[in-house]
Amino acid sequence: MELLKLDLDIASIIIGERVKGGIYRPCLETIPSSTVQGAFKHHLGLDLKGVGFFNIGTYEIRDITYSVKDKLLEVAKMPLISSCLYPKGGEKIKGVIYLMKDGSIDKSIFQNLKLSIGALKSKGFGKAKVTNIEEVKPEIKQGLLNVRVLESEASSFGIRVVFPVFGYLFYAKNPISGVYKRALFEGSLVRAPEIFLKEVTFYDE
Amino acid sequence: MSKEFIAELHDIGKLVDKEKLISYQLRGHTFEDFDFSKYKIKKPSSSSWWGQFHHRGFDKKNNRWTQFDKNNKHHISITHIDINKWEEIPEENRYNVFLLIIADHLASSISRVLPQLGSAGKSEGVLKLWDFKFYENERNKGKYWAAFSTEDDLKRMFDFFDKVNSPDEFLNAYLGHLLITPEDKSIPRNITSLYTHIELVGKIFRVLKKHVEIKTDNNGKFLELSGNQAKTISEAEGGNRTSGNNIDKGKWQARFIKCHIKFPHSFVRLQDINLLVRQNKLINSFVDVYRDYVMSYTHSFISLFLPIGMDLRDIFKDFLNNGFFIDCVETIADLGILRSNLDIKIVRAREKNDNQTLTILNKRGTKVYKKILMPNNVSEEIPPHICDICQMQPAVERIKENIREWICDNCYKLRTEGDRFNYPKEWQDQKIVWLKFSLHHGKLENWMQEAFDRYIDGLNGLRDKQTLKDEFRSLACHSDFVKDYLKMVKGFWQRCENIEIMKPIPDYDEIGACKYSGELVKRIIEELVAIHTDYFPDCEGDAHSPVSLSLSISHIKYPVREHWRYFENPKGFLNIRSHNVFENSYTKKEIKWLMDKLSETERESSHFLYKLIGLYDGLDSNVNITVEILNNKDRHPAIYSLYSKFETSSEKMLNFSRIIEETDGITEA
Repeated sequence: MELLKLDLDIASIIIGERVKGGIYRPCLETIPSSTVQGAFKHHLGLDLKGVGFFNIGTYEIRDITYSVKDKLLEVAKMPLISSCLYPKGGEKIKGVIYLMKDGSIDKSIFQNLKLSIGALKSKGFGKAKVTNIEEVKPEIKQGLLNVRVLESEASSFGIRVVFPVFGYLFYAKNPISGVYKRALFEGSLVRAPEIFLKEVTFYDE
Repeated sequence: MSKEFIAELHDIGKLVDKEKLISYQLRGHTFEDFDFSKYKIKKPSSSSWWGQFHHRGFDKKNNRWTQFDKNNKHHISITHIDINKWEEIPEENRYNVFLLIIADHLASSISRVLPQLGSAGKSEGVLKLWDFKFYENERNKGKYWAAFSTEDDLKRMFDFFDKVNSPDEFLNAYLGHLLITPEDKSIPRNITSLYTHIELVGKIFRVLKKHVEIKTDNNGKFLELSGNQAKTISEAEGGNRTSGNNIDKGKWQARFIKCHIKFPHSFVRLQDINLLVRQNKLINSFVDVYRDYVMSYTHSFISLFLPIGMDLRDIFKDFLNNGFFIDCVETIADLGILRSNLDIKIVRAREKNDNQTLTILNKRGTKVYKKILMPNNVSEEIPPHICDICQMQPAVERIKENIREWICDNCYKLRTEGDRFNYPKEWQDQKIVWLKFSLHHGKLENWMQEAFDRYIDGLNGLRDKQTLKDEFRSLACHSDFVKDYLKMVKGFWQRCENIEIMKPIPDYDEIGACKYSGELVKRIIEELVAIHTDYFPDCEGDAHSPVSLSLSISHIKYPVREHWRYFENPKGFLNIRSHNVFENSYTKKEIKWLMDKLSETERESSHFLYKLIGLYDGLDSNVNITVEILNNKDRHPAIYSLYSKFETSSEKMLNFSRIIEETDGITEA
């Protein structure tokens, strides 16, 4: 299995966890496949499959308060608090996206590519830049998954499920609608490229 | 008289003080050869009496049954003799004794059948690896291990065999003695309380009895478990070693399963913590129904002994139907080697590619599985909207106080049912503290093995220390530790009766909440240190500690789910997070030092700590910090010793000092 590894520098980012109610929105510390897909579709018009995560130690979690505007009524709604990832120590957040290698795509299109990822882009969040591109051929091992990926796409990432931890990711069917699709969440026991694992395990199957 | 066979009674003789009954010339801890007519004592007639025959052997030289002596070459242990030839035990009770012996082996902390490994002496009371002076302290309170020290006591004990009606009656009657007496007085086997040992023996015995069938063929009777037949105990169990060259496959296998009860729910509103009430009820009901299968449990963890074939999904169906999922590690092994820490041994052997160990374990069909049981109704797609709380079900729109939420029927029912916990009015607009005790079972297994290894290393007179370490069975110790943890948490609440901490869920001792004040946080930490020292004086309070307390401090409006998220992965012994301010972990030694030295003598040093933090932020270098602390060691000796002893950063010192000393003015958001 070959993957394209894109190293990213990110100023600050919010990938909202799918909690719609209440007044507080926590932020994910991984980049789900649905987010990666959306970002590349928007910037390159390409339907690419990928997942990613942020390098531990390069970010800290902070809260921001903002007010959502009801565009129809022209009034501000109740203020919301959202957690966001912010660079630790003044540098950029370091992140990685692994893309399924597609022979028809020239990897040079990713060189210095600027992307917007996640939520509140209008407030300046999610600005990311590709700093390095590398082809990797990770070893397949058994372990606990460290990413969130749609179940239907798992096999294309070389992920074979042994015991899943299911959750749901939003899947946009078109610009105005979508569905929640079953996904593999962190902690699922899988056989997968080692880079997708938070821990290699040695259980019987 | 033939009452129910009570396996727990098999070791009642361990409560007899033989030295005070010298005239009876008692040997061992069983009474099968006791001369009742000589002493004019009535011999028990209940079936439980036959439990005394669990250390029998056949003397080939004298052609008679006797107490088994493994040093006598003419003796054959009852474990190697066909059950059909156990002539001295009535046929209807052989089956009970057969299963009792297997249960006794499974519940021991070190197999008694290991080769002679020397002797390190005997100990009167139980030695807890986390509280070496436990028995000494109990003695100082006037307690004594023996329950039977006089002739009358002895008669009372024999009468008890016929009078006792249930295992609980026995356990309750002699609780005080059973808790302080070791299962085996010989060192190093003295590390398990007799109470826990016989409790586990009773449970395992009843599980086996429920699943083992007695059958007959041309050669007589045999016992069958999961379709596998056995006529001798050794044939059923197989060898008892996981190392060496002993590949002796057993015919009977069983499962030891560690189950973590988890949920995907995210507490949106305070009353959503009703989910924990539901979890508690389900666990209590589970333990009630599967009492004998449950080896130990806490609010979120259950360890099980199960026969092969018993469906895990079926026994956890109530949890799964309520949206919980079960994350478990299942070990399947021959009964001769099955133990609670075998999974760790196998996984480590695989990781290190330890072929010698793996050969033995593989040839004996040993398996370790990780299984995650998810609820049944996880559909492939959910049209918007999805439930805000469980995030696993289609939701219905609900509006309250102008806030629109999408919540499924199950979560809404849970939110609205039962007693609701509300923050008191005087907490409004204040900073509050949520606290949670945790017991990490993975850390506990590791700590227990290391503590046992240290214990063995400190003993003289033992020959093959490595074999003892390799063959340590932690189940009973683990169970004893869990009991002490639960007592410790209860004890914490007793000590905090007069301070203003609330239990959001009445029966859930691990969680608390209070309005923030530096004084209150200091008191909580002091009580933690005191109660931990009471119950676990010899278990270091550090990052490896199985026991931890986490404090999450924030404004009252901060969502409760974020407190819970912080509680999910406690990093150290004491973990403190002040939302948007800091997050640090402290060891027990650091806490004591900070409490004793820093807060009392160096309050005025806080400016120095600020200076250190400023230096670190500016230069990002520990060298500068070290130089600055060394230069000022005479002016700020406490900071110097804390830094040099524990490498505690100046930021941690300052955070701790501020969090226990902040006054009301700062508590308002």
